[in-house]
Amino acid sequence: MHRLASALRAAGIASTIAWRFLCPNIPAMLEAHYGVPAGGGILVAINIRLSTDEIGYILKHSGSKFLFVDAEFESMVKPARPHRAARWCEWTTPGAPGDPYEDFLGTGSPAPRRELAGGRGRDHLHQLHVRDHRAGPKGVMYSHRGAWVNAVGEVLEAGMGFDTRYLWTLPMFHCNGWCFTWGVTTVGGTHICLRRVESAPDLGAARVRSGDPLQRGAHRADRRGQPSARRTASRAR
Amino acid sequence: MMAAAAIQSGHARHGISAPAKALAKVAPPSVNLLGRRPIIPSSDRGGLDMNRRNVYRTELTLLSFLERSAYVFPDKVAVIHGTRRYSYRAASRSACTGSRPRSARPA
Repeated sequence: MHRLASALRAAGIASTIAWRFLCPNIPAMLEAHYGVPAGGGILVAINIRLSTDEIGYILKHSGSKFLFVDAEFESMVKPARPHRAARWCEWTTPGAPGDPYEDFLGTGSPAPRRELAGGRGRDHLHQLHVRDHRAGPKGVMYSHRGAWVNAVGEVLEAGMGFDTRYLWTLPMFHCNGWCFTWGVTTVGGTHICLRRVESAPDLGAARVRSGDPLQRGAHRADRRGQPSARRTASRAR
Repeated sequence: MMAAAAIQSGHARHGISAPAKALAKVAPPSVNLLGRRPIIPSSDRGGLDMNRRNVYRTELTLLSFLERSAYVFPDKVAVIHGTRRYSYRAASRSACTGSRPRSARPA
């Protein structure tokens, strides 16, 4: 978090600028949910399932200069690439040395700052674009304070605790993953990231790799309409 | 100024040294945040005026979640992605990158 926040600040951009992220449920996306507000910026998480035109609209509407895009989805933003003054940062294999995103992180410092730039409660934190069938997508603003309250509310609602392991079948770009991006961290739980949730091997592999991830938080949170990860996994087997 | 003086004496009673100038600068409001007069006058609260905006107020920010978890559970696994695992300490410092082996633990 501190490294990303520092890198964003070092990019020479004043705070309260929007940082757009177009990527699936990978650790870098989760990281953005902390690094961007810590850097005093506004996070714009873009739906990877939208059409190229819709993404192009959001890129223009959010009006920022920076875009982080996963290599898998690079083709979806190419038509909008002429967008002037945009700085791109793509990553191919997040976590690996030599990745452009890693290089960008390398420009930051992991040392914590005494005062986090994003500490002002009513400052804007996130711009969420929701669909409107009559017109273009709308930008909905979150505040630090509102997201804090909702994240704690999700902790209570889902009954999360110290042993919670949350399997990320819910997209993080969707309302910040209902604020579970922050809620799971609140209780010291474990985020289990999945690049995609498409097939049984994905879920099965996640289960094998991480021991028994499909515990409390993962399936109890599903009472609110999310397909049960545990049931999905067992059905798939 | 009366209220500021009262707070000063309150701090002094509890052995807390507060800079007198900083306290004197903040004028006590005649109304509270709801725009009403305080129900309980400050004189009945041991000299502490809770209606002052800047006293006992902490902004709510999401960043405190990660800060706290990294402080309380530094070695607990925060993020799993494939075969990679990242501790809360790593997540807080450098966030979830495996290029720094010291902060990332292989599965």
